[in-house]
Amino acid sequence: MYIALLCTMNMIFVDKWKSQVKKGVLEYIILILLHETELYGYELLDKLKETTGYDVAEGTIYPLLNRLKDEQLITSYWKEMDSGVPRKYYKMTEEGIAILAHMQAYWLELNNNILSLNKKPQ
Amino acid sequence: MKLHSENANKILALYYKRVYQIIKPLAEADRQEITMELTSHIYESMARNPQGDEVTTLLYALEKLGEPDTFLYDVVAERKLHQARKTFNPIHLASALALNIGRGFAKSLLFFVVGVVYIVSFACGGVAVLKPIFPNKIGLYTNSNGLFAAGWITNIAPGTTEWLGLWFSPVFIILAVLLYVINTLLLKLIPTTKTTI
Repeated sequence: MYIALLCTMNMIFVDKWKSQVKKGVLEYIILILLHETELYGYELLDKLKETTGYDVAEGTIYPLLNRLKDEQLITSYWKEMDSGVPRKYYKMTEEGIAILAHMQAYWLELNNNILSLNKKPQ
Repeated sequence: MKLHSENANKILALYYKRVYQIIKPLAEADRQEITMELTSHIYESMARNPQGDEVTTLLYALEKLGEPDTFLYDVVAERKLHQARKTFNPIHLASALALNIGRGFAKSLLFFVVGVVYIVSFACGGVAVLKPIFPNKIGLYTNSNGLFAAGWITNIAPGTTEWLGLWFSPVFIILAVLLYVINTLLLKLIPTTKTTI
């Protein structure tokens, strides 16, 4: 009983940690996806789910895109569609591409450091 | 966006009513941008996730999108903050501060501090304007008992020195403007976005 409770508590801890990691890297992943191609909000959510398994609460992506736009890392434009409902496409700016390069370098460094830590004999 | 079913249109109208209520503090261009993007999102979601009838499909799309009070609150707080930073308009600043206080303890504390600095900035501007009207009541005072005060003083003890004279007004106007501008620029450093995964 005690061990089962302990396992449950540990799993809650791991789940919380996973959620924090996901939140932490979400902007990074969005920038990677937008660097590949221009995307509209719903398509971006789809790509996020498809490539990372992140099931982001849909509405919450917009404040994030808004902030990236305020930071001038991305920009947006409206595209008329045959359906009559236009799509708002997001794309990277030059500044966004430069920032993403810094983020990728740091991510690689962090990843290598963690891998070497994990390889150290206990 | 016009749907086929009358009930679906009613549900959508109710949803937008809530949306308009939340985005009311924003500029017209921002309001239009937000509603257009929401419409686009709902349309795409409905087109990709049909659930049988139109009402169920719409309800599913709205459920996936989330409560407008939750996610739009963040958008409005962000847009208002952006507008305040851009325009330096005190009305937008007051509205942005009011919207952003309450978004987590640490952030609320930071926004509270920023709010206090704005009050100090307005107080500096106020006493600078009033100085020519009440030259003997307002100033920068010190005395040998350790008094160091700036602003309105009712009982000036003997031996108290007033340092700036009529220079008080220009100095405090500059101070007020500096505090206002620096504080508004510092607003940019406060992270505001929350995301639910």
